[in-house]
Amino acid sequence: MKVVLEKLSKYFGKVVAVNDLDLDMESGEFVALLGPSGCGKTTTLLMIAGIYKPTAGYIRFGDRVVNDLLPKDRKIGMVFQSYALYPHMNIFDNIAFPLTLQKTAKGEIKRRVAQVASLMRIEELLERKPGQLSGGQQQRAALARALVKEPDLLLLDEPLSNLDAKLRMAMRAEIKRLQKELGITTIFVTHDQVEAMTMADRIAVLDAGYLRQFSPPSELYDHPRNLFVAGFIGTPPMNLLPVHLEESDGCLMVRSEDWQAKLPAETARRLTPVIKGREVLLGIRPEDIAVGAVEEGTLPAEVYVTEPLGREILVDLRCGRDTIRALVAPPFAAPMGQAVGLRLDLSKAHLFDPQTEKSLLVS
Amino acid sequence: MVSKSKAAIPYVVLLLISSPLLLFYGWLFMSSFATRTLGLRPLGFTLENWRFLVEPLPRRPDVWIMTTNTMILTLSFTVLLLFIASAAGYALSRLRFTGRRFFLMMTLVLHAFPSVTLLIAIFYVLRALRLYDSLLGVALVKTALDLPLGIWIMKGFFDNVSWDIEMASLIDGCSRFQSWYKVILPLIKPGIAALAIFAFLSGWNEFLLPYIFVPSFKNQTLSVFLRGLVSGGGEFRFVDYGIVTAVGVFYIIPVMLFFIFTQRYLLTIYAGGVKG
Repeated sequence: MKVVLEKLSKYFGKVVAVNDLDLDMESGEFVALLGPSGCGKTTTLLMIAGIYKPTAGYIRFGDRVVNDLLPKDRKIGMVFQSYALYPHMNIFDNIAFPLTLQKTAKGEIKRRVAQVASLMRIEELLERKPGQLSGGQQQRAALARALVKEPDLLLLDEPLSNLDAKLRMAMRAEIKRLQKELGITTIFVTHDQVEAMTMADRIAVLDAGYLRQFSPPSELYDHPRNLFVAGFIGTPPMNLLPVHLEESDGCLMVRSEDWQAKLPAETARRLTPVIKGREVLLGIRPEDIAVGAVEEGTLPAEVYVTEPLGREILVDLRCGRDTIRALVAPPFAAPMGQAVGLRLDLSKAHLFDPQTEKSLLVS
Repeated sequence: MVSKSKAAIPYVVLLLISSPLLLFYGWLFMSSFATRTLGLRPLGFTLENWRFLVEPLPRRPDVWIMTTNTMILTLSFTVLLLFIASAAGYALSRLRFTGRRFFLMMTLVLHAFPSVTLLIAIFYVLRALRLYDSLLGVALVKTALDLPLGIWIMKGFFDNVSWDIEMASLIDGCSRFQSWYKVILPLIKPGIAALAIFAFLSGWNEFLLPYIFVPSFKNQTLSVFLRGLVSGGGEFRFVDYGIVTAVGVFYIIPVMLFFIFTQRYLLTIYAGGVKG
C-alpha cells in the first residue's frame, strides 16, 4: 500500500511539532524517519497511526484520505518502544487480542497465532505473561501481535532502542529480512542513524518539524542536500571548513589562509553557477583525509589527540582555529603536537552555502 | 541465642505500646459474653446478651432487617462509587476537555466541606426527589460526598497506566470504551480493590447520613441502632453494656470477613506481577 503525506502539519498549542511535511512512500517500501529527539518523527508516526489528528494536510493510504479514520479501521500494526504488551494477558492472548476484537473464529485465531508465533520463534512462550519474558522475547511478541492481523502498514516506534547492543544487531537484520519477505510497507522511527542506514530503503531526515532530505541511505551519505544532513549523518561527523572559492587559470580553487587546492573538474562541473569569489563551507568526511608529512600542497595541521577505534584511528587535528577529524589506518603513532600535512580528497568534498545552509553541488 | 533474644526486643516493645488497643478489643469481646463487668474484669458467662439475634429487643426493629439495610446501603454505595469514580478518573486522566482543570480543582475544594454543613440542603433535595427516608437516597448522598476523593484516587491509578498500552489497544482494534474496559481496568485492579475496601468500610460505618435521612424503623441501619443503645434512645433508662458490646461485636464481624477476603485477593493481584 502506498502511503502519502501531503503538507502534513501538527501543532500542539503554539508549538509546531511537524511542519508542511511531504512524503511519498512506495508500496512495500521500508522507510525510516530519522532525527534528533523532538524533531517530530514520533508525532508523524502517531498521525499515520491515527492517534493524533493532523492540524493541517492530508494522509493518504493508497488513494484514500484517512485523516478522519479511527486507528482501529486503518489496518495497521504497530510496535512501541516499550513494546506495550498487555501485562494482565499471557502471550497467546496478547497476540490473539486484535483477532478477538474482530470476532474471528476460535480455530482461526489458534491457527494464525501459531503461524505468526512460529515466524517469530516464540511458540514455547505463549503461556507466559509479558513480565516473565526478556526484552528480546517481548519485542518478538510485540511484533507478532502487530503482524497477526496481516496489516497493510507496519509502524515501528524506536523498536530496537530498549535492546542491548548485541541483540540490537541481530534484530536489525531479522526485521529487515522479515520486512522484505512479507513485503509490508513499513515505517519506522529512530534516532539512531546506524539503524536507519542499515535497515531502510529510504530515510526521511527530520529536524525541528521540517523534512531535510528523503533519500536512499547511500545518497544521504554521499550527497547531503544541506548542512543539517551533512552534520547529522556519519560518525564521526563531516568536517566543515570555511574557505574562499575563486577562479584561476580556468580552474576553481578553494583557498584558506595558509592553504589552497584545486577543485577537481568533476566537482567544479556540478557546482551551481554564480558562486565564484564567495565564502563557502567545505565539507569533507574524516575518511577522505590522509594524514602525512608536511609537504608542498598539504594543509598544515597539528595533532591534538589520537583515539584508537580498533579497525582505524580517529585523529583530532588543529588547523588554525578549526578542528578537523581524520580516520586513518593503523599503525599511526604521531605524538601530540606533531606538525602534519593533510591531503583532502576533494573529489569527495561537499560545498555548502553558509547562509542558506544548502548544498552548492547538484547531484 | 543472644541474637535471637535481641531480635525479640522490637516485638516486645511494640506489644507493650499496642497493649491498650488489644485491651479495647479483648474487653469488647469478653464483655459481650459476661453477665456483668467489674472494671475491666468480666463476671460470669452468659449468652443472654446475644438474645437480640433471635428475638428483637423491645421497641427495636429486627436485627437481621437492619443488617440487610446496612448491607444494601453499603453495597449500593460501593458499586456506585466504584463505577462513577473509575469512569470520571479515566476521563480526567486521559481526555482533554474544556473545564478539566476547573473540575479537578472543584473536586478538591468540595472535598474540604464537612458533610454536616450540607445536611439541610441535602434534606430539601432528597425530599424533592422523593428519596427522603430511603436507603437509595442515602447511598446517593454518600456517593456524592465521597466521589471527590474516589475520583482523585482513581485518576492517580489511571495516570500510571502508560499511554503506549492504551495506544496499542486502539491500534489493535479497540474503541475507546473497549480500551477502558478490556485493557485499562484490568491493569488498575489493585486501585479498584483499594477503593472498594475503602468504600465498603466507609459505607458500613456511616452513621450521620442514615441517622438523619432515614428516620423510619424499617429502614434503620446497624450504626443508628448501636447509637440508640448507647444513648438510651429515650426509652432505656440504663445502658445495658452487655447488649451494646454484643451488638458491637456483631457489627464488626462482616467487616472482618470482608477484610480477610479482600486481603487474600490483594495478595494474588501483586503475585501476578506487573512489570513496568
